[in-house]
Amino acid sequence: MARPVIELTGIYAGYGGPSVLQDVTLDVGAGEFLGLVGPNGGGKSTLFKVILGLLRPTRGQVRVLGTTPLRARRQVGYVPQYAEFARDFPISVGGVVLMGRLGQSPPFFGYRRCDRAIAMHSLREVGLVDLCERPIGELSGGQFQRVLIARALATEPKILLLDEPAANLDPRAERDLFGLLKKLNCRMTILVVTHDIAFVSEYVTRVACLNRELVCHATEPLTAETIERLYGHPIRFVQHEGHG
Amino acid sequence: MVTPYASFSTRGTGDVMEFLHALMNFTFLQNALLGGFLASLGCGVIGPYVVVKRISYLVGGIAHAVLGGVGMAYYFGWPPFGGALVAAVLAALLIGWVSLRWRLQEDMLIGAFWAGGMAVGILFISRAPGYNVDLMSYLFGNILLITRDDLLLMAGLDAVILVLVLVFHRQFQAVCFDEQFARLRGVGVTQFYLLLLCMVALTLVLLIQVVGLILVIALVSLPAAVAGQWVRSLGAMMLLATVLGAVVTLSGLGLSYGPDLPSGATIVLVSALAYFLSTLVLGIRKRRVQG
Ligand SMILES: Nc1ncnc2c1ncn2[C@@H]1O[C@H](COP(=O)(O)OP(=O)(O)OP(=O)(O)O)[C@@H](O)[C@H]1O
Ligand SMILES: [Mg+2]
Repeated sequence: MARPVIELTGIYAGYGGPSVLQDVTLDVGAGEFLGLVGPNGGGKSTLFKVILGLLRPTRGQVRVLGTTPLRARRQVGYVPQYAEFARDFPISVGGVVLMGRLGQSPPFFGYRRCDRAIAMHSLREVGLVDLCERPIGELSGGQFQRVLIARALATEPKILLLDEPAANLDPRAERDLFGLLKKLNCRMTILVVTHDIAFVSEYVTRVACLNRELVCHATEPLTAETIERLYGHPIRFVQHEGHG
Repeated sequence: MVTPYASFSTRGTGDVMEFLHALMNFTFLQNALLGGFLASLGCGVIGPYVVVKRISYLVGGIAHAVLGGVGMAYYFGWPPFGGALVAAVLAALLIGWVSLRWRLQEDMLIGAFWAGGMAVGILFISRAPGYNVDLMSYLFGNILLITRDDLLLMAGLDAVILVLVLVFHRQFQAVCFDEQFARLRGVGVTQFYLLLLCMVALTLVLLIQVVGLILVIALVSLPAAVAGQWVRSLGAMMLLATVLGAVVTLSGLGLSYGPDLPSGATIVLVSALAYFLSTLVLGIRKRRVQG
C-alpha cells in the first residue's frame, strides 16, 4: 500500500495553555476526500495549522507527503476560515488569485503567461471569471470565499485543506463547490472542515470527528450516536433541498 | 547664516513669474527641484507599501532613530550623511525585528525607539564640536542647499529602490497583503519585510534633505494615501503618488520662494492640503452616489 500523504502520530498541540489537540493520530491516504467535523473550539483549525507547519506540535510527529510540513508546504493548498487581510487593499480579484502562483513561478520579476492562464482557470472553476477585474473590497461574502478557494486552487496543490469553505455560500453555491471538490478529488487529496455533517457525507470518502481528541474516523456513514458523543447532544439532520 | 532654514538671498514679491525666472537662473533652485523630484520618485514607490501595510508609525520610529546616527556621526567626525544612511538601515532592521518578534507590544517599543533615538542624537550633537545650525537642517531639511553630489547619491538610492521593487514586487505585495499566505507559498516573509523596511530607510535618507527628519513621515505617506483614494492597484498607486509628490514639491518650493518661508514645511503643508482636498472631494462624490 502506498504511503499516506498525511501522517499524524500522537499529536499534542496548543497555544501555550492546555493542549488543544490531544493524542491525535490520523493517516490520510492519497486521493482521499476527508470531512472533518466537530464542535466549535474542537481544534479543527488547529489541526490544519499543524499540517501546514504554522503551529509546531508539542508532542508527536507530523509527516506531509513523506517529509516535514515546512518542506511540503508549497504542495499544500489552504483556504483559511477567516481571511487575514484588509479588505480595502488595492488589488483586484485576479491579482489575489495570481498570488497563488507565488511559490510555483520563478522568484524574480513578474508572473509568466502560464501563471495567468492557471489563475484564470481557477477563477473559472469557482465561477468568478466575470469578476476578475473587480477590486477585492467590492465582493459579497460568498464571492469573497470563492476567491479564496480559487487562490488555493491556483497553487496546483497535491493536498487541499479547506476550513469551512461553505460558511458564506448559498445552498446552490455550496452544492457547486462540493461538486467541484469531488471533481478535483481525482487529482488531489482533500480535507474539508464543515459543520454540515449530513450534507458532506454524500461527497466525502471518510469523516473524522475531532473534539480535542479524535473521536472517530469512520468509513461508514456517521451514526446518530457518534454525533451525539461528539457534540454532547443530539443533532437534528438538516435535509438540503434538491438532495433528499 | 543663523536661521535654521536655508534662506533665499533675494527676497521677492512672491509671484510665479519671479519663481520661474529664478529657476532659470539659479543652479541651487534647479538642484532643489531635481532633488525634490528624485525624492518624490523614491517615496512614490515606497509610500504605497507603507500605506497599505499601515506602518507609518513604524516609519516615524525609524526616522527619529536616524537622528541618533546623525548625532553620533557629528560627535565622532564621520560624514553625517553616511551616519544617517547606516543609522537608518540599522534602525529599520532593529525596529522591524522587534515588531515581528513582539507584535503585541509593538506600539510601545517603537515609541521607545522614536524617543530614544532622538534623545541620543540631541545628546551627541550637544557635545559635538561646532554644533548648531546643521542639526536644524537635519530636522527641517534644506532643499536649497542640495549639491550635485547629493543629487548623485539620491539618484543612486532611487535606482537601488527601483530595481528591488521591479524584481521583488510580487513578494512585497504578498507580504503586505497576507503574511500567512505568503509564508505558506514559501516566501521568506521575515526577510522581505526587513528588506522592505530597509528600502523605507533609504527613502527616508533621500527625504531628509528635502523636508527634514521631523516631516518625512508626511511626505512618505500623504501622496500615497491620496493616490490610494483614487486608484485600485499598488502599481497605479506608485505612479500617481510619484506624480503627486513631484507636483507637491514643485508647488511647495514655488510658494515658499517669494515670502521666504521654510521650504520643507511648505511642501508638507501642501501635501496635507492635497490629502484633505482629496478626502473632501471623495466624500462629496460618495454622498451624491448615495443620494
Ligand atoms: N491563536 C490562538 N491563540 C490561543 N488560543 C487559540 C488560538 N486559536 C485557537 N485557540 C484555542 O484553541 C481551541 C481550538 O480552536 P480551533 O480554532 O482549532 O477550533 P475549531 O475546531 O476550528 O473551531 P471552530 O469550529 O469555531 O472554527 C479553542 O479553544 C481556542 O480558544
Ligand atoms: Mg476553525
